[in-house]
Amino acid sequence: MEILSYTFFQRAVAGGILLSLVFSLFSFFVVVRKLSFAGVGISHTAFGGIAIGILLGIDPSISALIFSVLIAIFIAYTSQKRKLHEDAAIGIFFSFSMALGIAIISKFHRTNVDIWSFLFGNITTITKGDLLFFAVVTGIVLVYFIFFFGDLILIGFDPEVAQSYGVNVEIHNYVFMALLGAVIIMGIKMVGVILISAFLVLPSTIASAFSKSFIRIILLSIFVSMFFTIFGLFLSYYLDLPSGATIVMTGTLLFGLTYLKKS
Amino acid sequence: MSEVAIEIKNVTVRRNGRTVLENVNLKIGRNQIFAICGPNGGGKTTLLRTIIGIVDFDGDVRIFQKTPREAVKQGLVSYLPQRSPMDYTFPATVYEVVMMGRLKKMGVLKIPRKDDRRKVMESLKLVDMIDFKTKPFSELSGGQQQRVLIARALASEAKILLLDEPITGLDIHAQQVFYRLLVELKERTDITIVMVTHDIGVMPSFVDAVACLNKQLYYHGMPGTELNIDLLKKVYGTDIGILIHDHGNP
Ligand SMILES: Nc1ncnc2c1ncn2[C@@H]1O[C@H](COP(=O)(O)OP(=O)(O)OP(=O)(O)O)[C@@H](O)[C@H]1O
Ligand SMILES: [Mg+2]
Repeated sequence: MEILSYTFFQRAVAGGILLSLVFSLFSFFVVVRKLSFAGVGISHTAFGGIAIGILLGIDPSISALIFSVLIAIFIAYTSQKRKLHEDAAIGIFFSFSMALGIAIISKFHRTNVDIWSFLFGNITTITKGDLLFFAVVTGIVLVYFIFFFGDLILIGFDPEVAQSYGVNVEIHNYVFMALLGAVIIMGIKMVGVILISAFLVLPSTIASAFSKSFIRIILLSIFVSMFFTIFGLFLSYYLDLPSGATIVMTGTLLFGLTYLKKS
Repeated sequence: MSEVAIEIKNVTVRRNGRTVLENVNLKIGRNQIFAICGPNGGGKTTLLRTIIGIVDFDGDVRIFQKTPREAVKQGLVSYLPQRSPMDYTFPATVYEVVMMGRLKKMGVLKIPRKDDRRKVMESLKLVDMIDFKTKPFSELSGGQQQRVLIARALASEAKILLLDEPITGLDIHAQQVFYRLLVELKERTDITIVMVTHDIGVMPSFVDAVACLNKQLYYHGMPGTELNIDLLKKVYGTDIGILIHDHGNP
C-alpha cells in the first residue's frame, strides 16, 4: 500500500474520517427531521458564497462558510415563523445562489480558481489548514452532540414534548442549522457542492435498515459512513476515478445492497 | 380541596388577534383527577400549553406556587400532547421512548442508571406493554403507541400529568384499563392528573372535578348532578343534540 505514503492521501483519509464522523451524527437528525432538502439547499447556496469570495478576492471557503451559515439560519427562521413554507424558501434560495454564482463566475472568471473542484470536490487539494478547520468543526460538533443529545432526541421525537421538558426548541433549531451550514462547507472540500447531500442522507438511511433503535442507528451510521468513505477513497485511487464521485457511488451501492437484502 | 396544585388566575390568551381563552380562573387540587371538556377549538389544548408555559398569556399561572417555566425545569409536570398516532416516524424502540421520560433526570452523558431502567420497566408494566419493549415504536398500533406514551409520562415521575385526550385510539378494554390505572395512580401516589376528554359519559365515575371550556370557563366543580344537559348545551352550543345521539351509538 504505497499509496499511504503520499501526503495528499494521508490528508484525504484523515479528512474522510472526520467528515464521516460529523456527517453521520448529523445524518440521523437530518433524516428523522426531514431536513435533507435543507441540506441540499445549503450546499448549493454555498456555491453563491464561493463566487462572492472569488469576486471579492478573498478565500472562497471563508465567504462560502459565512454565506451558508447565514442561509442555514435563515432557513431555520422561515420554518420557525411559518411565513413561507420551508421547502419553498429553500427552493428559491438554492437556485438564486446558483444563478448568482454562475453570473459572477462567468463575468469575472479567474483561471486560477477551480470551479470543478468546488462542484465535485477534490481531495488532492486538501491542505493542512483545511484539516485544522475540519478538526475544529468536528470538535465543536462533538461537544454539541454530547451535551445536547437528550434535547436533540426529544426534539426529533416530538418538539412539543421537548418544550414541555423545558427544551428551548427555537434556539436549538438555529444552532443546529448554523452548525449544519458549517459542516457542509467542510464536506464541500471533500466531495463538492453537488455530492455532499449523499453524506447527509446515506449513513442514517443505510443504518436504519438494520435497527429500529436510535442509539444503534446512530452508532452504526458512524461505521457505515467511515466504511464507504475510506473504501471509496481507495477505490478511486486504484480505479483512477474522481474521489468524491467514487465515494458517493460506493455509499449508494451499499444502500442498494442493504435494501435489496431487506426486501 | 386540601392543597392547590395548579392555580390559574385571570388568564387570557390571544392568537393572531383572536381571543382563545378569556379570563379563565381555575384551581386544581393536589392528588385529584381533573377533567377538562368542551367543544373542538374551545381552548382545552391551549389551556394545557399555558400551564407548561409554551404559549404567551396574560394573567398568572402557578404550579405549586412556581411559574410554569420553573415547574417545567424542575420536572414537576409531564405533558402528553394531543396527537394522531401516525405522526410518529422517529426510529426508537418502545423501551427507548419510555426512557425519554427520564432524559431530564440523567447526567450530561445521558447514560441510564439502574434507577432509570427500573422506573422504565415499572412504567411499562403499569400500561401492560412490557412484552413490547424491544419492538419499534413506529410499528405499534395507535392505541399501543398511546399506552407507551403514557408510560413515558409516568416514568418521568412528575407530580402533575397533563393528558390531552389520552384515550384517543384506545379500544374499550384499553380505555377501562387506562381509567383504572389513573385511579390506581391517584390512590397509590400523590400525583395530580389533568385530563382533556370528550368522554363526558364516564366522567362522573372517577373524576374529582371537572371544568368545561369554550373560550370562557363555563363550569367548574364536582361532576354529577350539576353537569346536566342545560349546561352542556351552553358549552357546546346547539350541537349537543347530535353529541348525545352519537354517544348512544355503538
Ligand atoms: N398555533 C396557533 N395559532 C393560531 N391559533 C391557534 C393556534 N393553536 C390554536 N389556535 C386557535 O385556538 C383555538 C383553541 O384551540 P385549541 O387547540 O386549544 O382547542 P381544543 O379545545 O384543544 O380543540 P380540540 O377539541 O379540537 O382539540 C382554536 O380556535 C384555534 O384555531
Ligand atoms: Mg385540543
